[in-house]
Amino acid sequence: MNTENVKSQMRKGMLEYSVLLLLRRQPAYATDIITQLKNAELIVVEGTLYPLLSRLKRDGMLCYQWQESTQGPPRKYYALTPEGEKALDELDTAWAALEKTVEILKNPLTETPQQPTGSDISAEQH
Amino acid sequence: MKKNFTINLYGMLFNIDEDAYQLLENYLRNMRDYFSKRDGGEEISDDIERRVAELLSEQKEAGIEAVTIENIQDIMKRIGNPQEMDCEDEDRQSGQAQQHEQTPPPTPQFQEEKRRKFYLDGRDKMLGGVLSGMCKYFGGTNVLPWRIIFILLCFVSFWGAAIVYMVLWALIPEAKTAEERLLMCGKPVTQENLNNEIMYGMGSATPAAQGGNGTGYGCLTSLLTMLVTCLKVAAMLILIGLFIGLIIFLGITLISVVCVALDVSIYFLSEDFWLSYVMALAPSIRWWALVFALSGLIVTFIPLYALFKSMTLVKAEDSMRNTTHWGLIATWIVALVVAVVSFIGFISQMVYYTKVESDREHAEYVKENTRNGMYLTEASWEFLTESGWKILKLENADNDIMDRGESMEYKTQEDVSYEKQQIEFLSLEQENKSAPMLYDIGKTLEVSPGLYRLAALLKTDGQGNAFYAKMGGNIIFQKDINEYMPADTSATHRTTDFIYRKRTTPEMDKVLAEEELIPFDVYIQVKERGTLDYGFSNDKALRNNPWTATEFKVVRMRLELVDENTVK
Repeated sequence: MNTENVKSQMRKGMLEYSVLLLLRRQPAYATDIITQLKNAELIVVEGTLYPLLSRLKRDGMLCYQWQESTQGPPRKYYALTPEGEKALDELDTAWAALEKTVEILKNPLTETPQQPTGSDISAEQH
Repeated sequence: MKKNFTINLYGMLFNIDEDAYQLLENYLRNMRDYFSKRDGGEEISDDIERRVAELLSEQKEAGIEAVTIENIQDIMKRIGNPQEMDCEDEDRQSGQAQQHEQTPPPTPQFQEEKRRKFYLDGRDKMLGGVLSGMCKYFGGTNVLPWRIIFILLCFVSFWGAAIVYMVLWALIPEAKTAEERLLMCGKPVTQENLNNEIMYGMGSATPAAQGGNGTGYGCLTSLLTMLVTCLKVAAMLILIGLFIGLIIFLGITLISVVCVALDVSIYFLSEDFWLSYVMALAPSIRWWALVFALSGLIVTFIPLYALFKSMTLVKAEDSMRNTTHWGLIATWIVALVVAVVSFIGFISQMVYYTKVESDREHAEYVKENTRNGMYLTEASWEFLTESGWKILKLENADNDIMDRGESMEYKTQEDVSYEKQQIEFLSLEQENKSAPMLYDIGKTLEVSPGLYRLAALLKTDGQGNAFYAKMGGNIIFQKDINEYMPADTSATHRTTDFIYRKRTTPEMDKVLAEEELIPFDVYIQVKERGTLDYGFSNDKALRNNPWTATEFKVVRMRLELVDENTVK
């Protein structure tokens, strides 16, 4: 099994969620986001962020405004839109569910009756 | 030592080495080309460029004075090339579209299989890069032999190869991104190759060809571009002309098809509209014409459309896929073959039926203009009726007795009304040279006894002609006429005085001399009242000479009573 591939799929899967999470704390410009994502080892090449931001903006999750910078050109500060907040809340719920799923899968012996648990999981997943 | 530029990126100035600049420019352009195909692509590219500026300014702050190629390579590694960016981002994008499909989305950018695509090579080109692209498509490395063969082909095919070149140029897209360049050269599109292509492939290709630092070559390219634009406009005008012509042709064809189907006369278009008239002749002509018009429209429309696109859209957004191009080219070639074949069919049918029709018309005309077994042109019959001449016998003579080409009427047209009144011109010419001509032409007059004078101007090329006068079937006067040059101009003048009742004008003198006319002047004694038949003939019964002429012309003949009592 190619673990590298699975890992990269996982990272890809949560990239969008991570960006939204970062922006919930405070508006940020691309380089801030890149630094934090790099620290979290979520992206390899920086360029990945730009198409992503462009898409989120087109979907109405993000908005941006120009701010003068002390050094260099003016910067685009991205922030969540109300719609983005709503989407993020939804993703939070989904994430919690995922966490729970993983938790359950990791400790199968905590709850002995298997049938109900199994149906619970499938109910949550669908 | 390296040459150094100063560049301005979003208001910030950087000193950059020449090779580093080249690489950076290629990198950014590749990025722009890649993202230009999608929504908001411009913005993505701008943002990335801004990020490059930021990274460069970081380096500047760290104390790097001039940006080197290594710096740029670092930045490129950090930001990544477009394919890498999409790789990390792509699954989510296509995942949205494929929510209901459980199969993982394929990653088309990273197919290991070796594929080739036909692109124009913009980086190694003389005109459009068609040959260069073709050479790479077939795995060649040196374009020069291709070019030489192409030029030879142009001459051999009467510029047919040049037309094919223009069509390909208009239809095939240029390889712009690194990925497209790899596909063009048939190298597998892998991460490594892409990086190599961006880093080295672009930098190593003749930098002057990119028109950045315009020297002599730049001037030449702009001149070529201008020439090419002119050629394109000219080609477009010709194609538009052809297109409109073909539409009109199609219209005529359809009208004649409808007219024939409804059994309406085609002549409502115009009395003698030859084309529609011919088309009404036979169904096969109309079908050939219809096929030709339709295929011709396709043949002209495809390059016209391609030219139009290439001229209006500066940067065609991948609007046509390669398969569409080949489809169009295939359609064009098929249509061209059909058009040529149907054109040949149409023309040959038209020639055939036109001939059949004109033969039929001629036969009808001959039938209409045959009297007493003799066929003469309509104008000839008219002339005979008006002038009072009668044709008694005519064998093996030209059907047109009006020799207009050499007629006096024609030559002295300054005073047309006078000439029309005074000159009658009757011309008899042998038709078949192997058989003798036979003629007998004459007039009749009711006469009373007296002395009559007859004068005429004649022209003949041989002996055996005779003038005769008959009364009640009996010859009362006969005189042979032979060719001769009128040396005695006074004789001519005497005769013309009598014929025209006045002296001739100097112009007419000149014409009479040129025509070598013989003055014919005789007196006839009429002894009793009756009908006088007089005229010219080469009938054996009337002449005293075994020879006969092949030409006999009469310019005006006049018979008049000069003395009632005198008996000569």
